[in-house]
Amino acid sequence: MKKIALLALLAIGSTASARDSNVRWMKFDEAIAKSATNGTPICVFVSVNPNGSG
Amino acid sequence: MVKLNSGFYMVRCADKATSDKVKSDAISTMIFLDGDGKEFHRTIVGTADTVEAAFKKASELYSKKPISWASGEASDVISGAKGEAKKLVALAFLDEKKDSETFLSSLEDRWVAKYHERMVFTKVAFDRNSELCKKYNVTSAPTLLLVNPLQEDAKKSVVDSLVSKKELLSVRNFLAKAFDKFDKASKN
Repeated sequence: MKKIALLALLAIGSTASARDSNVRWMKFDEAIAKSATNGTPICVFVSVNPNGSG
Repeated sequence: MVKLNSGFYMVRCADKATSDKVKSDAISTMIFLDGDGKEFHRTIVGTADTVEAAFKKASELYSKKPISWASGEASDVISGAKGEAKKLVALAFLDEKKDSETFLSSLEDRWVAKYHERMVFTKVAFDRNSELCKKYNVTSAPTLLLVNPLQEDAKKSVVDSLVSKKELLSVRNFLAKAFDKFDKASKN
């Protein structure tokens, strides 16, 4: 399962353009605060899940 | 390659605090939240295709929505809305100016689109001398009145009003507050 998460993480990066392949990861609270000012949606990727499987 | 993630704030959840906040239940899950922090899509991914599909689905679900205007006179629309449970009539007093155009664009934005199903929209051409403007004391455009169709008295029927504000944040805050107020009053 961890291997799948790693593949998905790479896939998220690869959906960025070649010039900007690094995703800008934010803290959850920072994303919530910024989103509340302009309505931009948030995508949370669970790479490690302390609450469940994996 | 298409930059699918560019329209989202990206958060990597690998700690217990974040995991608790998003109620994560499986590794390799993508969870999408709207501007109010409310979840609207969740899916498990594992390949580039599924990641792409997740972004596309989220973009579809959280998208701009055109307003569906009711036809007929405002009074008829209000009467007709009496049978619509938990809905308010949105009387939009508009003119041909840029502010009204900007206001309409804000009202159609993805952030506030979820409120559309709770409103019956009526477009009113703003004329400060019209009977309708006098009835509701509307003196400028754009003005949005949220009217409770079950309340007979015109003045008392106005749940809330948004006057001369056109920016998305103002429109969003207005709708969130107005429906919260309406729902609380409906419970009593």
